[in-house]
Parts: sequence; C-alpha cells; structure tokens
Amino acid sequence: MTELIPIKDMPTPLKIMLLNELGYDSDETFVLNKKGEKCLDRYTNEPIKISNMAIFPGSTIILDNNSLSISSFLEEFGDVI
Amino acid sequence: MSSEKPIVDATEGAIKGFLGWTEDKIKEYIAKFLNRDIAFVSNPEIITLAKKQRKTSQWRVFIRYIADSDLRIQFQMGLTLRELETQPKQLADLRGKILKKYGPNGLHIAQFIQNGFFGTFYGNILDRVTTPEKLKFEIENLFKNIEQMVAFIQVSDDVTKKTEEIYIKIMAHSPNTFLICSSGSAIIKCEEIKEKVMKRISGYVAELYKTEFKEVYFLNKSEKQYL
Repeated sequence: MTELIPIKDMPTPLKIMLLNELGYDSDETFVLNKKGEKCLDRYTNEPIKISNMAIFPGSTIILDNNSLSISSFLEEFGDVI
Repeated sequence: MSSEKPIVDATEGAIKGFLGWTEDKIKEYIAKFLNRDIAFVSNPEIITLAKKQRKTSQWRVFIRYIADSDLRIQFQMGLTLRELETQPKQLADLRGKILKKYGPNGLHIAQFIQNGFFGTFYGNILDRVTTPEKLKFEIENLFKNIEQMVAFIQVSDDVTKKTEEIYIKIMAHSPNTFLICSSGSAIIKCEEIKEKVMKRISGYVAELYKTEFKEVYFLNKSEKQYL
C-alpha cells in the first residue's frame, strides 16, 4: 500500500526541491517540465499549480489534486495508491 | 555545503511539520517514492474519497455493465458531487471541471448519479427485463443517450416548453424508458409536466419514485410494446 505524504503545508522551496529531484521545476506557482514549460494535468489539460499538486510514483505522474483528475488516474491505473 | 543543513529555516518555514527537513531526508523520501512506497499529495482526503467510492455497492454494480472509462469517471464524479453537496464552492468547482471536460452530457450523467437516480433506475429496469443481456443494454443505453432519455426539471423551467421538449424526444427516439427527474421546489412543476406529457403520448405507463426531496417519473413502454 502506497503511503500518502501530505504536502499542502510544505514550504514552497521544499516542494521545488522535490520536483527538482524528480526532474521537474517550478516558477513558484506552476509545475514546469525540463524545458521550463508549464506541465498540464493529463486529465483536465490545465496547468498544475505547485500549491495543489499530487505526485504519484511509477512513471512519476504529477496531477492537480482535484477529484476529477484523481478518479481519472485511478480509472486509468487501477488502485495503485 | 553540509547535507545536514536544514532546507527551511525558521523564517521560511513556519510550518512545524517540515522544519528540520534536510537534503538527506528529501533523498530518503525520493528513494521511497521511486520504490513506489509513497506518493506526495496536497489533499489526501480527495484520494481517500475517490478510493472509497470505488468500493461502494453502486460502483460495483455499475462497472459490471459499463466498460467505458469516461462513463465510469462521470459516475464517480456523480458520487463525489453528492459528497460535496454541503460545500458549495467545491461543488461548483467540480461541476465546472466536469462540464469543461465532458460537456453538458457528462454533467447530466454525474447529476443523475448525484441525485441517487441510478439505484432507482436499476431497480425499475430489473423488474422489467428478462435477461442479463437486456439489462446491460438498458443500462448502457441510458448512459450513452442520457440526453434522449432523461429530463431534469428546474424550478425556472417553462412548463409548456419543457413538455414540448420531452414529447419531441420521446417521439423521435421512442425509448423503452424516459425519466423525468426533479428535486426540491421543482417537484410540483415536474408533476405538471409529467401529466401534460402523458396526455400526449400513448403506449407508456408512468411510475413514480420519490423521496422526501426528490422525485423521478419513469415513463415505461407498456409491456406489450417493450418486448
């Protein structure tokens, strides 16, 4: 069972460090990819805010932490978390 | 630079739980993450709720008949909307997301589930179909053609226009079942519309299912026409 680590109250510099370790970046508002482009949520197609992101293991999928994206993730990948 | 240097100092990180986090600790978490032992989430409650919904009896019944992943997500969104009914801002936000991704059709499916009409529909249809294949067909048919088979009555609806709209849909598609749904203060208008529709169509029987705040009329093809 994957443990969920809450990061809502994690300070932004720490979140950015996490993202850097995983090959991503941030302008302190949005999650950016290696090219410096805003990462889009794969289900809502909207830019992911660092303040509401969820990072799932496997292929390192970063989503906006909203119900639609989370349910879509579970539907696509099964109950992996 | 020492790897033990706290990343967050007292002024940066007023948040107790993360004070004292070090690069080493981050690396430890990353190792666990890469090993798929942990996930980082802003709002664990949303994940917990989504997982809980996938264990409900309604969900289990639904997925026996529906393989389409978009429909499954819309169904889950309906269950979520129901959970958010006491939180207007979150409710509106999620409705907006559903509408943007799936359009009015998807939102109507979610609202159908939100209002608890699936269980009513399932019970009604279970009484009338004779084989599992027909049951599957009816459930799939409802969700793939919800705009042709379901009308949601709002308190602001014009009775004459809505009656005409429903009549045209029934004449055009001749569904085995047509549902007229309402809740709260729209219930009186719903009854009026149902009466007017029934006067204009033939070969259908109306059945009412109601709770304290919700009403749904099933206009079912009479058995002779249904089979």
